[in-house]
Amino acid sequence: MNILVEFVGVSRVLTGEQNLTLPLAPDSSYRDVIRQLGARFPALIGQVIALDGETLLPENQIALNGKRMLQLSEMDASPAEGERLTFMSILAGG
Amino acid sequence: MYGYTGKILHIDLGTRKTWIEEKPESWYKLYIGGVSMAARLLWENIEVGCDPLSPGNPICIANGIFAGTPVPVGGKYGLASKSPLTGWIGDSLSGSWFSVALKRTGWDGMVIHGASDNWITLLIDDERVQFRDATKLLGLGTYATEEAIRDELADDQIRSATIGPAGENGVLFANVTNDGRQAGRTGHGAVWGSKKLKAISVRGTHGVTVADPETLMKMSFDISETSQGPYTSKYRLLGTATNVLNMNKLGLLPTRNYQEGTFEDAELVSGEYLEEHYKVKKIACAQCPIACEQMSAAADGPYKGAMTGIEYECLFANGPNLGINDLRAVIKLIETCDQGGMDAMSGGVTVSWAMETFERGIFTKEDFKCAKYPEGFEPNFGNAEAAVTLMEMIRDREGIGDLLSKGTRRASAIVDAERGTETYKWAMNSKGLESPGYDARGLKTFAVGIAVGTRGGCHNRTAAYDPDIQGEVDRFSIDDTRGRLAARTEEYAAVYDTLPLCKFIRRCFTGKADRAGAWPAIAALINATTGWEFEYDDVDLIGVRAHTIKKAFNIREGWTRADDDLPYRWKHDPMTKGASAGHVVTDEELEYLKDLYYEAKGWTPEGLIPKEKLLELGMDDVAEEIGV
Repeated sequence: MNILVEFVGVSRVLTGEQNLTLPLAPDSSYRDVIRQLGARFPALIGQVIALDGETLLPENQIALNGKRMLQLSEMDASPAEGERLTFMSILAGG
Repeated sequence: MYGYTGKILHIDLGTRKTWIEEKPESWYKLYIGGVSMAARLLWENIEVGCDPLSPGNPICIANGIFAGTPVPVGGKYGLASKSPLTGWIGDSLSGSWFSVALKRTGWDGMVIHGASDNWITLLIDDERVQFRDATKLLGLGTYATEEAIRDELADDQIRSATIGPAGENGVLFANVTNDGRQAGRTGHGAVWGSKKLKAISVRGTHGVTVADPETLMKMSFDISETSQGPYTSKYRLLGTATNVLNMNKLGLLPTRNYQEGTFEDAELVSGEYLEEHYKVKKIACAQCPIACEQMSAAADGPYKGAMTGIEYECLFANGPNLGINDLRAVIKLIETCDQGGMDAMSGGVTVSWAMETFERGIFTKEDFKCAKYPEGFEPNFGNAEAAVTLMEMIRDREGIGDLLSKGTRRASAIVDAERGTETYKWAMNSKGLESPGYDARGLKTFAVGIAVGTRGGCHNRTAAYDPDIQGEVDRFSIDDTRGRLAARTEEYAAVYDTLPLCKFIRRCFTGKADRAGAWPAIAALINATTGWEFEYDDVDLIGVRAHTIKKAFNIREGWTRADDDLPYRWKHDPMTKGASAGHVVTDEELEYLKDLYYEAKGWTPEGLIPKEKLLELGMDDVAEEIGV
């Protein structure tokens, strides 16, 4: 299974990537996605990803297909094939 | 009294008299500072029905409770007058050194009455007030005016709030600028211009006495230290300009006058692209450890040399919303607004209305004749040179710039009356204030938050986009929680706007930005400053009162439920592309949401405030005047 990961804002600065296709083992969860990204981009740890390596720090969120934000209660659910996950800072101000 | 002097300075520009008003501590406990105190001063010092551009409309300035102290992001002040753009309350915030210097003069606030016969500046030199001739400053931009005053007084510690040519010329969305920051919205610059007041300069030498300096210092140090961590990374690294790509991904980025919510060239006008290509340096306000302002410059191209600070709201309004994909042109447009002393949001959204009106064949090339283009020009979306020219014409009220200087509500009404058209259908404003960069069609809690907003189309006074975007609720549908959410988020924002503290610090108290995370720390900061004994509920009431006094002002001016509305486009024209395509806020939805909101506020179904509600808030005289 593959998903599309997009980085904007702080996560883009820290990873140097705009987007990437992430292969996932069957039954992988959103928590697994964050673990994989933390391992691949250690700079995210402590800035975007919490020190536990599997959740996001406050002020960060993941948009699912641009429609809504992933909720903490959904961390153990599995992404859908081809799902687009956008890592972004919380929207505020202007 | 600690933290305050208890003194408000009154100045009459017509008679050139000054007097001091002493306020009791109980008054400060109700209205604190910032927009709340400024709105309260306005309530006390204006006659109902006053023409906003007449001498009777006072300029009310209220400093922050933490200005001049070590409290991070507390160097801010509030400004209130009746808005010439909207006809309702006009309240704005600005920050930085002007606020600190004003605090050191010993005045908690100022009320400026009347109008001068000739152009002047005011110099508030501690207790002394000077009326100084401003003839030499006329026509100067905002930054140049500040510099010229410093040079003239041979004192680089002088801080000035100024208007630019737009304020002198009566552009209804002209603003007030100090230290590169703006009290940007609702047209304060036009009010100052109507009084022939070019600038207020302050030189303060007094200290600020607080109740518990040790606690205040320790808390301030801890908050500053936390502010250098991940809670503010977004603001420190990229500033709010990073919102462009976020909004685009969510289908909420106003594009070509809000016709769509995605921009095909969003990457080219993003905060990330700005950082890589055009950022010159970061700037911080006084008392701010975050430094979010991304100072950017056009290094080449036709606008080479243009330089200004870039925020999301001015970026969306002058980039995607005009179909412009060249950041150098966007920088030039925002610089034109900042130096000219105009609200870059209202400016951009008014130009986008003109572009759409042209593309629909209502305006023609002939309508755009000017000295620079005697035959006129064609302001299609994406035409950067046309946009820059239009912005300059608005600043100078040249040609069609005179019409556009009145903002989208008035301009569309004039055109529709003269030409029998329906351009109001794409005039993007609420209560006459141009809409922000959050498209309410895909944010339905925000939709009611902005419709009921006391100053009109503003994202800042309502934080109701927060539950929508964070997924606390389904942002595309409505339910009976939305009235409560809109009321709660609006009052939350009003706490920050009253102290005032910049909202970007909200997570740096405990890591949590909600009331439970922030209010105890804010209460402790207030107590260490003043010696009061504020608790959680007292902090909550700061926001309730702040919003109530502004609402009361509007009610006294004749507000009715029908005035709480959204732009026609958000109610009737769904977007066709992106993640928020296909949605509108119907009239039925909006009326239901308003019902919920008024109920959550404890108001009548007509949106009026019961007397007992006002009495509970300690606002007895307000209850007497407008309570039902």
